Amino acid sequence: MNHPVFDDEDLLPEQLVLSDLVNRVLDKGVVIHSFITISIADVDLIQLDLRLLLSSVAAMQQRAKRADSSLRTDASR
Amino acid sequence: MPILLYGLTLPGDPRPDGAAGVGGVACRVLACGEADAIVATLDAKPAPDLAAIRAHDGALRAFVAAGASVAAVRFGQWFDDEAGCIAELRSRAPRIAALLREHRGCVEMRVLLPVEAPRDAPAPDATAGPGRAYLEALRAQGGVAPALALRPMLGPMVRGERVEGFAAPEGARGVAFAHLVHRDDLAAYRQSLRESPALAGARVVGPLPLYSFAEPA
Repeated sequence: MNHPVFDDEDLLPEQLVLSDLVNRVLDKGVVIHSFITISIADVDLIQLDLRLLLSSVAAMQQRAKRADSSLRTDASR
Repeated sequence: MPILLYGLTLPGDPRPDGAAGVGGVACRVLACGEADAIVATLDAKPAPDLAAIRAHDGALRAFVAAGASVAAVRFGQWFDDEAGCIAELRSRAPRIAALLREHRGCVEMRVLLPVEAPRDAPAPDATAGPGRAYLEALRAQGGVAPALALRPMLGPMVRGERVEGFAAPEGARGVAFAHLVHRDDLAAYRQSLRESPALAGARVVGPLPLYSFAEPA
């Protein structure tokens, strides 16, 4: 049985695809700098979805906590 | 002028005839030792608006479409000049190049599924990342989490799988299955997705550079 599985090229912009795009570009991939500065110079992103931005900030904070915890563990050895 | 870094690829890999990034500025490749950096020179640091996010993704996808192995770099990483970019990347290049060689010929595919949030789901842990918090909420419902792996169903053509929950506007929620798939297996992969009743209505995005697989698990 075949059912339609939609390729993104065939889609009009839609919430799910757009949200995944923002999520992966802002929150996935190699990190070269220790700190990434994302300045909020354009309100469009906030209007798009504030929660996504907050999620990205939360994820960064979580990573920072883990890094800090790791440093403390190393220092205590 | 700022150098915006898009991603990393392997020297000798195919290159697109042209790849425009943020602001329509053409991307180029900088040799950084064992890896090449995909960069563009901008007049100013880019703001993370939707156009820039699309352009970042689009530039990398042009390299993937040309046949290159590409690791995406997280948006917003820039350098003051080329020398600074090369100096920073030279020490990192061996590790990233090793990962790209390990996954040579592979691309990332993403299967997106809309998910209804459970009505009586517990509040997510405010300190957790978005994916972890959402999956924990699903697990709390019992019996949902085991279904969140597609790899057993799709077989060995899926060489790696990462599952991430994410929030979409207006209360929608989704689950993204990131799959590492070799280019030679893409037709069979798509066919398997089409034949799975559980994935009716799923959205498939790709081929993409390595986003979720750009760093070791």
